[in-house]
Amino acid sequence: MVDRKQGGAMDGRRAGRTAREAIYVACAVVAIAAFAFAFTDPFVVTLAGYTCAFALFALSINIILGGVGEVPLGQCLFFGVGAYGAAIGMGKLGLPFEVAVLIALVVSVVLAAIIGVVTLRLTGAYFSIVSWGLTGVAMVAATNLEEITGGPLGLFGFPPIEIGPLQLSDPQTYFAVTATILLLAILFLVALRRSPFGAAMDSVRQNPHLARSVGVDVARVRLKAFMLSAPFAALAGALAVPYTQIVTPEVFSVANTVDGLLMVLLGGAQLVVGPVIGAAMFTLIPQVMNLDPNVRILVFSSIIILIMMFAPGGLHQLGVALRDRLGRKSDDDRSR
Amino acid sequence: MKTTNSWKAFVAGGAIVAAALGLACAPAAAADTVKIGLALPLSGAAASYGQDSQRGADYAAELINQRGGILGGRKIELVYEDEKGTPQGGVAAVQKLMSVGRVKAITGGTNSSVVLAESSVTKKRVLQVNAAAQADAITDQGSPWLFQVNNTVSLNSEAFNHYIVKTLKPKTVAYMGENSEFNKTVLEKLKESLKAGGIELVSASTYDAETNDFTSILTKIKASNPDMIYVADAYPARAAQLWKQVRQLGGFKIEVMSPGVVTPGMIKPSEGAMNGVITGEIFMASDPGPEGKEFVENYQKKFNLLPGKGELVIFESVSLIAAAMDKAGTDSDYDKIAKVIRENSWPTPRGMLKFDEKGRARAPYFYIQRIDNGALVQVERVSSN
Amino acid sequence: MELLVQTLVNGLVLGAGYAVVAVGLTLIFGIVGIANFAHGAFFAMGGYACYLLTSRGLNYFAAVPLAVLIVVIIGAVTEWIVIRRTLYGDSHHGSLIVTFALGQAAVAGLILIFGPDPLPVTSPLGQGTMRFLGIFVTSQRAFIFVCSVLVLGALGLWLRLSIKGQQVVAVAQNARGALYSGIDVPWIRALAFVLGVAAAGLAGALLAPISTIYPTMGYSALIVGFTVVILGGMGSIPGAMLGALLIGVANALFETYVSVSWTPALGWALVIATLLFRPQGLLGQVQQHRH
Repeated sequence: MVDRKQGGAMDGRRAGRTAREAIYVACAVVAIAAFAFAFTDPFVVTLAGYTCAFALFALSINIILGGVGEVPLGQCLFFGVGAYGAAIGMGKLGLPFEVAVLIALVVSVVLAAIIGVVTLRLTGAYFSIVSWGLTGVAMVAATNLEEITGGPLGLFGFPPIEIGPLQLSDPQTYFAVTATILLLAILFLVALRRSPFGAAMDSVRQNPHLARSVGVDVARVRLKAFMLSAPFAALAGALAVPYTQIVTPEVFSVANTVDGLLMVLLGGAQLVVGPVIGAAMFTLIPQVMNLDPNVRILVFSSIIILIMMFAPGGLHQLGVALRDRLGRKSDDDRSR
Repeated sequence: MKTTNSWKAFVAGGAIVAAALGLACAPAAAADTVKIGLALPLSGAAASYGQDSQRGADYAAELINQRGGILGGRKIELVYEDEKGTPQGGVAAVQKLMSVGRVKAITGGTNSSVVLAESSVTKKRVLQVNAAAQADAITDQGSPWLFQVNNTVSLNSEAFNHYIVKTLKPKTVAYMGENSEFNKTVLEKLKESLKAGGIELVSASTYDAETNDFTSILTKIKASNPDMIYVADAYPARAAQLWKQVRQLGGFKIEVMSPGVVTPGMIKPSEGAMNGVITGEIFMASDPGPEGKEFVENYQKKFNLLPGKGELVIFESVSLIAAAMDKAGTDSDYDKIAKVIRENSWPTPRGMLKFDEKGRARAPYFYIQRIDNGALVQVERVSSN
Repeated sequence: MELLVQTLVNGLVLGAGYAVVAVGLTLIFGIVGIANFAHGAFFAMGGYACYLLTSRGLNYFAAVPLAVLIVVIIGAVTEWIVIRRTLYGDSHHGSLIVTFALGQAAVAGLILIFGPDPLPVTSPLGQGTMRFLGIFVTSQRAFIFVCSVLVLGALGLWLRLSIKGQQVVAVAQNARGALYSGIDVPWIRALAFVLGVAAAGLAGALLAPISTIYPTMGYSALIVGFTVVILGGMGSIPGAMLGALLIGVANALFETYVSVSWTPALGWALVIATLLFRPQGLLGQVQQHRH
């Protein structure tokens, strides 16, 4: 699988850092192009594309988890909104894919605003539980409102999906599009992390009381982060449609969020590309090892538990700790 | 000197590589296998169905290979992939089968949404025989190389409802079923049939997949006192519970369950609560008719288990693919194979199967069954035209 | 009229089952301070433990307390190895994720050990039904109702009258103060956790004959548990009981008179209404410190 941009080490000198990161980005672009041209096996390429879409979803989870420190168990709500938005727009309204997706993105932000206002001002657990419950409600609604959502069987039979001249039914184009969008998302999130808003999110996550005392509007920051994460999740849902060619109420299933959470935790919540690493591992390992899925869940869950017990920062934290042990003291990574 | 040595090494290495490539590109030996791919739910809620199917498929392949294989002695080789019971799992499984597994045909499938997703991938690329998924929508797509062995929901409902209206003759009926696509069609067909037969449908309750307490629904239904209750639920855990609760509330005069879903895995946990329930199926292992006897006996000998419908339709699918390829004389000219399938009748443990323009097989017989003492017993065998 | 009374009775009986689960959950939340997403897993374990015992021929009534004991042991081990270590970490969501992962692992484990198919648990009260005044109550459900009342009553008395019980209440109200008074807070927390999951296990064993056991049986218990606890007030035991009864009755009424297919959404509608108008729940205390 392709090595994505290596995030992490930042030293104080801005110029050096920017130059290095520009090189990373360039490498990533080259890698994406190379992958898209080199591999023609549709299985590998489309799976890679789907993994990119799902990695985008994991990134959206991490805006909340690694950003403001809440556990968004209901994030698949927006994933589903994106998927259904694209499907309904194309299938029922005859809109082009891009337009349907854009509408879905707007809807997701509005939805996030409404839900956020109600649930975010209380204890973290409330937010998680209620957002989880809402996905259940969404599934019931999707199953019952047949005229709109196609009911339990879902929506399918779309015309070939395309964005302008790019045919998403072509595996290599699909991969190139999803990988590029993923890269853009990563860049955006890195910029976000470095912005004042990113600092505000950090302070809210680490110590909300302290943040409040220095004037950070904690509720507002949480709400904005939530509203920001929604369109990423929705976009991911929409990008998953060309792969499965069918949207069923199951897209709202909390199992998707669980998978996303596992990806984030495996790769490291404090690293912007952590979710992407986790997504790659999550997809690759089962393909390579052919595990019974229940064994896989057992193993991944146990890994998560061990990580949370010994290294809450994820594998990245372990990697850093290891590297420090081995003596390289030039990079101070503790401040991320 | 170093240059000469490394030059020699280079030439030697190149020769070896060339030889290896040459071997790899050499025409394959005449007896290479015909690979058939199976996308099955080997995990998830339908996992036991997946396991059943593996047995049915293995048995079919064994029989075919014992009889000398197809297309001039080539053996059948089965390649399995787990579709995990989700559309994206199905898509991945089918793609892997086609590209990595290099299969010539694909079969399997129990969940209609999953098969729909798979069918958009296999469309115009490979032969696909949907073994067990029942949604009409799958074959309504009109894919020329897509076939379906199991009855669709409509076909099953038609046969079963006919029995309800003409023989059971209740005056009033109450329906309760899980809110799934499968059941939506069941309910529609039921409404049609009852209306045509002058029978009143007093209530229809659809519940969510997570429901495990049916007391309120059953209380409500009991209050309207119908002659017959029609339960549509394909999920063994829930259905067993449901019937236990029906029994605890006193039961109904006539009790039926949607056709094509009752399995021993559902009857056993209900601990006798399902005795007396009437249902229907396209195949009965305990009473298979003359064509099916051999199949049932041999299957039982091999696996020490009775084959159910799941194993049967996979067996038929694999056998159909092999026989059709053999008759058409090719393993990859799908237009020809599809034509051969449509133009012929195929012998199966159920009798002769014929496929219509949409690729659907019509079951030659339909069995009305009743559950007695924890086992399915035949009440009637209806011949379809 | 008869339908209404029957529906109300159904609701109350249903609520009694939820109450045991919810009380366990609220106990853990109030005293240990974590939202136990593995609660449903312990519910399932109670059911499976009961199955293990009854399938070997043990009488159901003997199997239930033994099943609870098994759950207690598993709960204690879990608390000692996992919960303790992750509770005081620097990430507040640690416990949520850990309990969630535990729940997932438990379900996967159950599938691997017992298979994905549902299994029956036989109770001597089996298919029996009791009728009085024209109202049906299945015997098993009547049993559950009686058990719930007894267990919850005993719990309430224990909390009020025994020393350990009072210590538990003290920790819930003010952990630091309790620590300064010499109460062994970590031990009390462990005790509360084990009690809480034992309640879930008990509910699982009680409900097993009605619902048959299957690996994911804990999910609905978990969701219902949280719905009830939010409605009743996190950390309030009377709240949990009241909430359970209310939700049981509301579900029964809605399902019978309004719509069966939308009933799952009802619980969440109630939760959202609660959060909007009375965030502390019916009987909870207004939260002093928010997370």
